[in-house]
Amino acid sequence: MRADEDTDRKYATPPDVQAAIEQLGLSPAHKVYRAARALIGGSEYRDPWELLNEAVKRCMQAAVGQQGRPWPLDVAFEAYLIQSMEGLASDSRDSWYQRNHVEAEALAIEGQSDDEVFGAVHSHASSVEDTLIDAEQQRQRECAAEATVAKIKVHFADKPAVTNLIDGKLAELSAAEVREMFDMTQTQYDSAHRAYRRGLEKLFANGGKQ
Amino acid sequence: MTKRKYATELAALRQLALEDVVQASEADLRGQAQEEGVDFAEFAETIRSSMREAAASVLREQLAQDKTPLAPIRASLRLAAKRPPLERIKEAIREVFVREPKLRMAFRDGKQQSQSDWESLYDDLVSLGALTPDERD
Repeated sequence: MRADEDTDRKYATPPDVQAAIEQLGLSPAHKVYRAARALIGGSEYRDPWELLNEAVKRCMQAAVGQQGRPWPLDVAFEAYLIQSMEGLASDSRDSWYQRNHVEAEALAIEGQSDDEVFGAVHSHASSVEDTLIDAEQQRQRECAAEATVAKIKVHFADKPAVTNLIDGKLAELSAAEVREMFDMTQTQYDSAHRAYRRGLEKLFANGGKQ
Repeated sequence: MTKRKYATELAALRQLALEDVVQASEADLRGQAQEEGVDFAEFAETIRSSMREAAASVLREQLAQDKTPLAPIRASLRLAAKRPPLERIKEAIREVFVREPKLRMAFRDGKQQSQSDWESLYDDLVSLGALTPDERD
């Protein structure tokens, strides 16, 4: 945040966003790009640039008062961007939720009478067709996720240390628990972790949906 | 198939990769860039440049929108000019609710509705296409 501005602000303004981009260091810049590369697998994004640029746009849209993803100024810019990209890559879960949440808010009532009536929130109730389309989209997303998970597992099948990491993560084990369970040193764990991330980047280097 | 089982697994696998990105040292990032034949500083500038352009595109769009601020106001004024008297608005709204059972409203407990409440509801129903202003007016 600029020193000459209101220090009580919680969220970034356009000059904050522009300044953060200009001040993004070498390593943080590479980190956000690497994060985008690691995240596009199984997503709707064709390449890491598309995902990174979308996160920046959402940030700036919120900064100018449009619908977007506001950047809380107490979070480091690169950490915010990585978090935002993770949300975007996790598909349209948010938009699906928002659409249904709005519909859920439009509650039905009967027997309205003259002035003792309704307020400001109103909407067309969701039709059976809409509900079926949503369910089908959910099913398709789940099938796509299943294929992507299988692809990742197959890709690392000949790397036992990485496979251990994957199995541990899917079993919701902590790093320490994974090391203990698979008898790994910290160095072996770190090395497998790096190999996994780099391997994932290469696996989806040509697009998220492949 | 368990509901969202694989989507949850995929999210966990993405998280695993992100944990390594966040922990990566500059030496590791430089090493990876070198392996890929990428100049570390030059590519960082390419990344910033792409982000700069993405941010600028939002500002350009906003600027273009700001140049036409009167459009929604004019539309609103046109709608207001077409409004029938208040009693007819109330009648028309009740008719729409009888005719369109899919339309639902949130309830404001027993409070009196102001004239502007009725008018804004009438405008919204016209905007939604549920009510045509000249149906009987």
